[in-house]
Amino acid sequence: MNIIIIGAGSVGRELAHRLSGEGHSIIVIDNDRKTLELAIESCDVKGVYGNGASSEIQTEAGVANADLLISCTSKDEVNILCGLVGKKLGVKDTIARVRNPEYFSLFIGRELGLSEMVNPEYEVAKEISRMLKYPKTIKIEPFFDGKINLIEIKISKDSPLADILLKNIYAKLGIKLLVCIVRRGEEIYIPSGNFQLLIDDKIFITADETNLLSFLKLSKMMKPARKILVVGGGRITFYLLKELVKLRMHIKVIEISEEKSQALDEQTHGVEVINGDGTNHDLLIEEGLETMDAFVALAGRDEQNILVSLFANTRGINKIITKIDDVSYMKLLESSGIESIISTKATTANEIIRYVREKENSFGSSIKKLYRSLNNRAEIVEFLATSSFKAISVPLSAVSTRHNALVVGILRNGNAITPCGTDTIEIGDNVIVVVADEVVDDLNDILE
Amino acid sequence: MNYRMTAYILGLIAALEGILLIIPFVIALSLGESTTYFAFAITIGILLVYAIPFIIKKPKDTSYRARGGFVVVALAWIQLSVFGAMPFVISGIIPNVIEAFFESVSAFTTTGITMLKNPDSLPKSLVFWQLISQWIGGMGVLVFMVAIIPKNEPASVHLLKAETPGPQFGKIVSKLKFSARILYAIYIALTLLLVVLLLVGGSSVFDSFTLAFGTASTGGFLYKTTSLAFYDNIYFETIITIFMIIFAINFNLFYFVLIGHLKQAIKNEELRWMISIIVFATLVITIVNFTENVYNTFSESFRYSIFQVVSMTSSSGYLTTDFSQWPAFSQTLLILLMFIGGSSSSAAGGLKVSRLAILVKTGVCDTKKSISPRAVASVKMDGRLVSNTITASVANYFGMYMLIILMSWLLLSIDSNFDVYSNFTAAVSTMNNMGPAVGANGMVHFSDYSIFSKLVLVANMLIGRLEILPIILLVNPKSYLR
Repeated sequence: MNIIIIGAGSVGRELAHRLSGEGHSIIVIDNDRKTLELAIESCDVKGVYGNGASSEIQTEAGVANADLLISCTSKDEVNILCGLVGKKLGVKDTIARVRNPEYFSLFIGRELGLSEMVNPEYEVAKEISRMLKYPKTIKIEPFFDGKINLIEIKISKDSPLADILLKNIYAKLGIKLLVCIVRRGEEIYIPSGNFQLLIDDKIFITADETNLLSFLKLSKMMKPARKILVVGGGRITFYLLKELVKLRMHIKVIEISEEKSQALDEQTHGVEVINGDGTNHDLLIEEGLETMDAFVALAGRDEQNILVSLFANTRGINKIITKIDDVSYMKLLESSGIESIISTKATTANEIIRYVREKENSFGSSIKKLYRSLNNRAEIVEFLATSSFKAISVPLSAVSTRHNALVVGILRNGNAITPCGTDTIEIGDNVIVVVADEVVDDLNDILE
Repeated sequence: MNYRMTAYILGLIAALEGILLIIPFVIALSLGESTTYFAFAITIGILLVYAIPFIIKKPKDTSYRARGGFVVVALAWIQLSVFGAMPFVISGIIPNVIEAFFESVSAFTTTGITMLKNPDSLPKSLVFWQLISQWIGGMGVLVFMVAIIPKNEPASVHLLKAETPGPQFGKIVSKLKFSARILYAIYIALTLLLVVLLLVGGSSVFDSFTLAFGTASTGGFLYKTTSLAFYDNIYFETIITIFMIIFAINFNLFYFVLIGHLKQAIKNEELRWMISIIVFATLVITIVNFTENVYNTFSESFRYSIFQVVSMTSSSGYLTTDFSQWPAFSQTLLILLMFIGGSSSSAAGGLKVSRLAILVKTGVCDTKKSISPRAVASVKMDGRLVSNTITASVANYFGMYMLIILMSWLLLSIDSNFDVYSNFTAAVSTMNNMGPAVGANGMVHFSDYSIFSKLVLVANMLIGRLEILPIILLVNPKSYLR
C-alpha cells in the first residue's frame, strides 16, 4: 500500500521502519529536518519536509494516490487537521493519534469522515489491567475475544516447569500445555518437543481454558493483586482506574499536581488519591509501598518511572509495572529485573500496524489480525484458512512446518482448540501462528 | 564496519560482472575472434570462483552505516576495474597490467581515454566490453545491483548515496529498489531510442550500439583515432549533441515528465542553469572561432562549436575536430566547461551544475550580508531553502576537488614528457571523467605518460566519478573500526 506518515517522532519512525519492512511504500512528512533525516537514513522511505497539515505539502507527498494517511504528531489537533486535509485531498483512509478524550466524539459516527482513531493511553491501561489480574504472569495476549490466551511467564525456581523437557509436560503435570515461544537472554526459540526449559526462561504458553486454569492453580498464579500503588495520575491512570474499579481492587494513586489529584478524585470512585511527589521514597514507604501486591509507575517521564520502579524492586514488591516511552530503555530495565514494561509508543505503533494489516485484507492477504511481541522478534498472526492452504485436513503431526513457525490455536465454529498432533486445519478455521524472525503474509508461508 | 556484508556485496558485484562479460564472450565467439574469446572465458571463470564463496551464504547481519556504504562503493569500483582489465591482459592486447587497469577504469568511470596507440584495430568484442562497462558505470553499478536483487535492504540507501553524483541524494519514489529500477528503465529506454535513431541514420548495428552506449554514459569511448570526426556526418552529430544534453540532465526530471509533471521538470533550476551555460558558451565560442577565421562560414563554426561545448559540459569527450587548433579563448572556455560538468543524478561527470549554482548563490548571499550585516539572506534552489549544512558541504567539496586537481597536476609534472598545459588539462579531464586533453603540441596521448603518472590519472578518474569521499574513506583507517 502507499502510506503517508505525518510526524517522524519515535512512533512515526517505528511505524515507518516496520511498515516499509513489510513492503509498503512509505512517505514521511515532518517539519523538522533532523528528525526527518533520521527517518530517511534508518528506513527505506522517502521524506517530505514541511507542515503535514498544509495541503501543498500533502499534495507534494502524493496524498491523492495514497491508500492510508497516518498522522502521529505530538498534537491531537494537528493530527485531526492532517486527517481532514488528507480526506479532502482524496486519501482512501486515515488514522489519527488522538489522546484527549474530549475529541473522541469526533470519531463516533464518522461525521468528519475520519476513519480511525488510535488512543494509546487507553490501550496501555487495558494491558496493565490484564497484567494485574494475573500478577505472576508477565503479559497476557487474548485471542478470539479471550477464548484463547497466550500467557507470558518467567520460569522461577519453584515453577513446575523448571528444567522440564517439553514432551514430558503432560506426563509429569497431567496438563496439556503448548509452549509457543521461549526467550532465553537475547535468543528467541520456537521450541520443539526435545526442548528443555531452564530457570529464568521467559515463555509464552497457551492451552484451553480448563488446562490453563489448572496450570495457573498449580503454579500459584491465580491470585490477582488486591492492593495496588500507582504513581502518576495522568490519562493512563484515569483509564486504568475505570478498568480496575470493576475488579474491586484497593488502589492508591500518588499524583504531584494538586489540580490533577482533585480532578482524579472527582472523576473516579473508590480510589484513594494522595497529593504528593511519587518519586519521594519516604512518601512511598509512608503510603505503605511495602504492603502492596503491585506497584505501577505511570509518571510523566521515563527516568522517573525507571528509578521509582528500581526502588520498589529493592523493597520486594512482587509485581512492578513500568511505563516508558523510549523503547531503548526496555532492554536495560529487563536486565535489572523488571519484567512488566509497557511502552505507550510501541503500543501505539502496534495498534496502527494491526489496523494496516487488517486493511490489507481487502487487498487479498489472508491475514486477519497481527500481534507482535518480543521486541519485534516474533510475530503472532491470525489467518483465515482458505482452500488455497496446502495442508487442509492433514493432521498437524504430518505437516512439516518451518522450524521457526508454530500453530498455537485454532478457532472452529466458535470453539477454541489448542492444537496437538492429531488436530487438523479445515477450511474456514481461524488459525493463530507464531513466527520468529520473519514476516509471513500467507498461511502457506509456514510450510517447509 | 560490517565485513561479512561488505564481502557479500562485493561478491554480488563480481557475479554481476561475470554475467555481463558473457555478452562480449558471445560476440567474440560469433565473430571468431580467437584471441579474445578465451580471455573472456577465463575472466568469467575467475570471477565465478572468486564470487561464489562470498555469496553462497547471506550474512545474518545486513546492516551497515554510512561510512561502510562509502567504503563498499569504493571497493566495488576498484574490484570492477581490476576484473574488467583481465580480458586485455589475458588476450595480450594490453600486456602491461597497469595500462590494462587504466583502460578499464577509464571505461567504468565514463572517462573514455584509451591506452592504445592504434585504437581502430581493437577487436570488436573488447570494444563492446568497454562500452558495456561504460554504460553500467554511467548510471552506477550499485544502482544496477539494487535494481535487480529481489530483496530490499534498507541499508542500501547508503550505497546509492555514495554512488549517485550530486550534493543531495533524492529518491524518486519511496522504495529504493523501485527508484533504482525507474532510473535504469529510463536509462535503457533513452539508450534504445538513440540506437534506433542512429540506425535510421544509416549506421551499422554494431556502431549504433557502441555510439549509443558511449553517448548514454557520457563516456565517449569510440576506438577511432579521430573520434567522431571519423563519421563526419551532420545527422549523427545533431542526434548525439541532443542526447549528450539529455544524458547530462538529472534523471529524476524524466520521471516527473513521465508522471505528467512536465512543468515541474522544465522549471528545474539546475536544468535552466545548464542550458544557459551551454547556450552562452556556444554563442561565444562560435563567434570567437568565426572572427578568428578558424572556420570560413558562421554555420560551420556553429556546427563544430556547439558539438564541442556539449561534449565538454556533458563530460562525454567526443571530438569532431582537433580543438587544440582553436584560439586560446575558446580552448580555455572549453576547459572551464569541463570543470562544471553536467547535472547531479545524471550520467555526467564534473563538479555538477547544482554545486556551481549553490556556490554562486552562497557567494551572493555572503556578499549581501557583509554589505549590511543585519540583512537576512538565504540560499534557495527551486524555491526551497538550501540548508547551511549543504552549502557548507558544497563549499567543502569544491575545496577538496580543486586541491586534488592541483595536487595531481603537480604529480603529473614529475613526468618530463609533457608540458605544463598538457598536464593541467590531463588532470582536469580525468578528474571530471571527460576524456581528451590538450597541450601546446596538440592532443595529449595518454599512453605516453609514465606508469606513475598513469596511476595518478587512474586515482583521479575514480575520485572524480565517486565524488571524492568514498576514496578518502577507503584509505582512512578509521573507516574500518567496528
